[in-house]
Amino acid sequence: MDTATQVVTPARQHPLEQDRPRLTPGRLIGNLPYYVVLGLWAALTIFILLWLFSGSLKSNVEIFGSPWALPKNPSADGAKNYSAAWTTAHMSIYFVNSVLVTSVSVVITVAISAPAAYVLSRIPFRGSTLINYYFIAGMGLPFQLILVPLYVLLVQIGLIDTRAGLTLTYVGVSIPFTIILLTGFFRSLPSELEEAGAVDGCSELGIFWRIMMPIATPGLFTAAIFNFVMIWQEFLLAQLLLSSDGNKTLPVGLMGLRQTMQYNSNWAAMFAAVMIIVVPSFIVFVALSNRIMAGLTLGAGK
Amino acid sequence: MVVPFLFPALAVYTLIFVYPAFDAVRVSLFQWNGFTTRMTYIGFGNYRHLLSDPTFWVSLRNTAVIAIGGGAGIFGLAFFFSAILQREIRGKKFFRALMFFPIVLPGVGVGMIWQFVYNRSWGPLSAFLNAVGLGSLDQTWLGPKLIIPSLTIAVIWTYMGFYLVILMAGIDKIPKSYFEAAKMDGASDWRTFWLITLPMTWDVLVVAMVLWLISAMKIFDLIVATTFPSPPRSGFTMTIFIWERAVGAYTPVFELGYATALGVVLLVCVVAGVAVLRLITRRERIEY
Repeated sequence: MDTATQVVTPARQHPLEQDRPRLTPGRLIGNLPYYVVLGLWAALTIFILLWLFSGSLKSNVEIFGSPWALPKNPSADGAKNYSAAWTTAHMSIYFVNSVLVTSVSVVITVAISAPAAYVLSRIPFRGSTLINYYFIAGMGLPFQLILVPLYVLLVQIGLIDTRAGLTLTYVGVSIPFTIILLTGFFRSLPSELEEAGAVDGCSELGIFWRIMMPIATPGLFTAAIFNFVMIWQEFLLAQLLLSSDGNKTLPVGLMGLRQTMQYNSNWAAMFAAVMIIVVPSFIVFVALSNRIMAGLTLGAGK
Repeated sequence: MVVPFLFPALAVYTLIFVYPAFDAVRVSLFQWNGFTTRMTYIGFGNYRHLLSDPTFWVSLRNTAVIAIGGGAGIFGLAFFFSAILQREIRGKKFFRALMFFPIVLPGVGVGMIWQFVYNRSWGPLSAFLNAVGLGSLDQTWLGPKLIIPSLTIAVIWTYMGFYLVILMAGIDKIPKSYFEAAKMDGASDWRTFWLITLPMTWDVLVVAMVLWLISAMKIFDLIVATTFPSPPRSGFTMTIFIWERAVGAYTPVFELGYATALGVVLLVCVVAGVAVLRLITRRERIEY
């Protein structure tokens, strides 16, 4: 039952915490050991990310020579590294593929999961529970299990090594969690909504489309973000299904690049390539961190 | 309206996920290299083979070590940090978001970063140890001896914040008056944790541990990227082993039937692991 409130207001605070803690010097000193521990972990994380960033602005000589030193010539070396990664190493192509595959997968997943979740949660019919369990079962299936049969299947339907095939695959494997998430969300909405719609002479389709969908927007948005984060970083299935360079997504492209690095050891460009995959996630997270935290941890809240 | 609303989701899910899962059981009974359509039926041959395959046992053990050791680290730290963030700390949201952040990053990227960090010739870890005069502690972090502990640390860094946020949500639901009462009675932080926080968040904790167990056994991209081009055989996990047999860790083997049998075993491990975890964490539900 808590699901909907969490989705609607992910950043909900405990009422008692709403007024800011008064920070007296005594309290500050009392909390000092805790700040030190928190600070250490935060410093580790920030250091790792900054170190990655500074590496992408160094030359190869600097990377090998002085791992702790700051980049000597950041703009020139940075430009060289990023253009090597973006153009020469085709990260631009992978980037476009990732955006394409991820966004289309997310839209289709949510578009076909929402009606199914609505029916499963709001309309009683025979076999409803069974179908619900059928979807839940998908949560436990490791992708490793289906590698070979999935490959064969996509060869048979002629979608192997295509972005369409990968998109279809992502939709298929994302459906179980999306349905579970949305079912929980729809269940928590009050039943008066449909009754009011029925009294006003709305058809069942009208109730779904004109009453439920607008209210469900925050839930759909959370589901979309969750799937975006998951699909954007998916590597195993993409690596399995894609072989032509022009179709690869960012994670696959990055691993391919790492493989070429074995031979030309342009580590600086590799740092830049990792930055290219990290930065979009960083931006999305900074913009939507509350929603992402609510969405990703939602399944456990029940 | 039930049928048209359900049909698209059911159809795609069944075709892409459920059908291959069932087909996997069939494929696992064959010997097949994938180059020809000829598959040789060998019954339970693949399963018999894996029982006597030392790499299988190594992979299974390593997977268990990462799941259990990593889990202990993750939940220990998550409780520790949640206790700290319970206090009136400034920048609470910032710290929480920062700790959560790594889970959002693509696993391949995180793996690359840790591979850089652990690089012995130019990575910051070895450089740091040498700079502060602890050069004697410097190790081949991703060598056969240390690879699993090194990976476990990378795994803890990546996943801790996710479980921290789940636990904090559970702790937030405990009525504040409980903590106040405990404080009034002069209970130590430690006693408060054992007698209030832990029992009251138990249900959330169990769900979180189940989630962790399922995802721990499936971790792949982080490991494959950290250990690129391939971990030493002694550092294999189940996911790496399956990948190597099926598609090859860049040195193809193409034992497709065997790889699929390993996938079936992985599924069995996930189900069994969750069942055992459920069993040992069972207790009366506390209502409040």
